[in-house]
Amino acid sequence: MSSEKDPIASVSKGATKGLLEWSEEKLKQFVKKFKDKNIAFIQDSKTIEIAKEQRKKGEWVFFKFYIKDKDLRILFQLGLTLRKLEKENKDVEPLKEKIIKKYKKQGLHIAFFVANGLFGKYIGNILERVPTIDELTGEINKLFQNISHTVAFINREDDIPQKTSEIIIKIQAHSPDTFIISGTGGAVSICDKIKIGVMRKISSNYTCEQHIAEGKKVKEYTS
Amino acid sequence: MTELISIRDMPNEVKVNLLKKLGYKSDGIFVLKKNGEKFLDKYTEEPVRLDNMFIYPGSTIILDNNSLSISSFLEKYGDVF
Repeated sequence: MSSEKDPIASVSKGATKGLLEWSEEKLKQFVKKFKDKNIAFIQDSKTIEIAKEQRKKGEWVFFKFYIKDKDLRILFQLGLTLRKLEKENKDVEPLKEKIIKKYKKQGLHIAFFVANGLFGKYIGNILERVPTIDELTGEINKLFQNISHTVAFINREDDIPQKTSEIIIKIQAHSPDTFIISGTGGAVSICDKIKIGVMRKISSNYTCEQHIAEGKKVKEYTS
Repeated sequence: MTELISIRDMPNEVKVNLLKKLGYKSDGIFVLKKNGEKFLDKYTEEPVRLDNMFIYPGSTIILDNNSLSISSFLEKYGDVF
């Protein structure tokens, strides 16, 4: 049997070639460059490329001008990353799990808020009534610190009467200027039903707007 | 600016040797401290795997190569690449 057709021999040959390419001398050169702070090592540069790409986006440039909180800034960038991964049909679960582990459910909701394109719409809504930089900074901080008072993220498994009731209680308790019911994919029809139930109870104080963005559907209630 | 070197094709033996030269160890799966304890990513507090490392010079920062850790790193150190 020739070695070209023997898979074990081929693997072994490949491993030897790999080792030769990373000779002791070459490794020493890399370590020297590393110690001189000229190089860094990374398994897959795609992660950094995606992170850098998000830091060039207009939404990020706008947000970082107003918000200095380190964790909020990281969550904002992770929201943009989630959006990018979702758009490319990549697996977002590992990142969602890491966000929940470090920043709890509130952190994930902040990232979702950005990922779903709600930040730009929300800011567009409040810009008219917040004339100064300080006021806008305050509004953005207030939004993210109390995100559950302003947004409900709907899953397709959610119980409609229960979720409707939760949202009505939140709106009545906090009287937000804007309340957003957000859902994607299979949750969109659930959102519709929840919206009808919510509006029945609060329609005298709020008007309803609907936004559809890149296959996503957002319900917005503005006083 | 620091140049990024991909170690995707670097054999595990070489990665272990690289870590050794930088003052760390490995059991073949995880990055270990000198005392043999698993080295934890400072942002996720999870063990860093040999097959998913990001190593940055200076005070030698070793992270797991995931979006949360990388975004946290860029937020702290700026656009260094």
